[in-house]
Amino acid sequence: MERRTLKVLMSIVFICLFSLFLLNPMLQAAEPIKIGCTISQSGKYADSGSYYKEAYLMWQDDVNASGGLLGRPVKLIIHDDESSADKAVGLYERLISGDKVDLILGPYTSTIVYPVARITEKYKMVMLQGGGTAGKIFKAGFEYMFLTLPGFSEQHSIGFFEYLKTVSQDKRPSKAAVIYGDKSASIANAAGHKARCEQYGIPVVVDEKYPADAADLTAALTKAKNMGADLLMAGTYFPDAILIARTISELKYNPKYVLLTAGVSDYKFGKELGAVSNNIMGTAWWHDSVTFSLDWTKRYKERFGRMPDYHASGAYAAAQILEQAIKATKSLDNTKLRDYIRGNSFDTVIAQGISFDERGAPSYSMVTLQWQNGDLKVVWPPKAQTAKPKAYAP
Amino acid sequence: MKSFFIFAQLLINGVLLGGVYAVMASGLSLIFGVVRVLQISHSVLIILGCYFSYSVNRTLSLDPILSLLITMPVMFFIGIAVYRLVVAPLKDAPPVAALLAFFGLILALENTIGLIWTTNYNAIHSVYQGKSFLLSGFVFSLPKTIAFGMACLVIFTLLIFLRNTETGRAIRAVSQDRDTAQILGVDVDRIFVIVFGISATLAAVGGSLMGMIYSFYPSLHWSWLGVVFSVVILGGLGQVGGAIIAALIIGVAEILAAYYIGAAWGPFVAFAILIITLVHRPQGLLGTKGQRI
Repeated sequence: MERRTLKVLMSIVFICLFSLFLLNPMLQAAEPIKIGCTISQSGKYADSGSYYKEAYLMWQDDVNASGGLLGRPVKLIIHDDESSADKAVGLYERLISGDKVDLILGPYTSTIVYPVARITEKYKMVMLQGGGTAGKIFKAGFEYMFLTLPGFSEQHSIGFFEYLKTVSQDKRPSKAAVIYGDKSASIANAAGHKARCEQYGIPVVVDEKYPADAADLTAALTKAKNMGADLLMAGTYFPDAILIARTISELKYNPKYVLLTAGVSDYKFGKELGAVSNNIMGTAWWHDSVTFSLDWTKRYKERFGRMPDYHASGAYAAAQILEQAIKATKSLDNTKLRDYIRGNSFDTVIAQGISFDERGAPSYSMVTLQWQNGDLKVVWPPKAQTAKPKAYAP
Repeated sequence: MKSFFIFAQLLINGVLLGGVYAVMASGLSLIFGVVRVLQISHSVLIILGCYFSYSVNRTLSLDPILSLLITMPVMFFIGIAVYRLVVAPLKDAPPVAALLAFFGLILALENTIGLIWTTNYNAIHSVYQGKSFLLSGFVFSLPKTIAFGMACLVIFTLLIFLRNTETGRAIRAVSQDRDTAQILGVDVDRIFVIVFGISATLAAVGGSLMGMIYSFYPSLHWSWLGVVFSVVILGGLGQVGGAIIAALIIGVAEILAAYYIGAAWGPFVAFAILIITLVHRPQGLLGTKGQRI
């Protein structure tokens, strides 16, 4: 009897001590929340990757300066995936099962995000990412992955057509040429362009795909000119955007509007093209002149000595949403976090009031940009406007 | 009438493109003709030339054509370095060793370029970009016409040099019969050094011309490698003259296919020509056994 009492007492003391150990905030504070990710720090994606690294580190310092999360500091574990999907997959496995990280942030670019998401799904880990936009990522049925770049490849021209609605009927274009590089995002850009042309009753008279590394686009653009297309739309990256701008100028092809997609938002586009860039429109998920994130942009510039681009704001937004979800749920339970992210909207540096559908795709919030006399202006939507849109050739 | 007009305009565009291809390919053809090694890293030297031109353009605000005054001599010495460091030590090794060494050189140079200039896309600013002029109703792109003119000038100078100078004759002698040339007192090693230097100089020209027309990034040379090889093989390995004709054929074929079949078919044509040549006329257009350059 006596021995039994002693045993019970000992157990109670032990349980109390153990609970104290578990609940002691001092002890917990010493244990940081570990957040793991890979970034391409070498190889072909290293340059874009550097923005992700900077943004994630900036967020880590911001959050720790304001007292951390759930009373614990945040510690990022960043590995270099060398721009290789295979490396990234192995490293995420290691982060989750070896390093036992509490949370995950996403890597850069679709080809890496897609296989990595299969790993994070397997472990039911939330992955907020600002780097993978390819359509197949959202057809895979991922339940824990969310993209922060606010717009699908098919959605780039939504803003432009919203603007066209405000233009008087006689000044609207009557025939469209849609050309695009042989890359998945460009093909999807063009599919969106064509669908919207149809919706707005503008016949597409030229529909041409060209090799992504095309050395010459004279043929496709000559065709567009000969067919009398007064709206030129393209799905581009930087090199073909440059090539199109130069070639239409050489061919003296003057459509009413020229809307390209990626590449135009790059400052080098205006710098290298000079007057040739004038009145060419492009699209972007974000631009450093958008009003709601000016403070953040300024702090980023001060800290890293360069302007952030959409990679940086997309990465920072991913971390911001994770932070807001943890604060709201007071939990590190990834399933609880996922449910909260699915059901709510978030103010971030890349978009205000961003929300997600069941595929993890974000609500649309892109900007339409235009080069006007050597300056890159936000021309749409009106609330983010820094200049009114102009025709390429009135 | 209108369709004939379009066809003629496409021919003009194709010839202009072919001129630039000719400069890009002539250096490779020259090396094969004289040294008999397949310098597969030639296109990465073109990219290097392109970046040198970009840097000169950026720092000194020099026009891409004028920047050649600086980049050509620099690339001449880089060509010599390639010979001394990569080719000469492997002189007695089996041909596959040189091929592997060039492959290593490609990777080393590509990554060095990425480290220095980043892997981002770049473009060179020039005052004549986007400009064109009309001649009998046809549009001539000004940068492409200038590039074509420059290409003609450089290739013409090369051919004159090969025909009419002592060194040029020595190069042709080595190309035709290395052993006899050596017996007759030609310093073969020196000729090889010069040929590698000239070839890299041609890469500098090709790079500058490509840079003023297109945008570029370090690994773009893989795309150019295919075109350059198609041109060299169609022209006949080692036939500089053949390479020029082949470059024009491929330039025109690419543009015509892109217009009449579809823009995606341009590069397909270059490779189709490469395969057809290899199957039906492996010696190329001008290739005959024993006669080179």
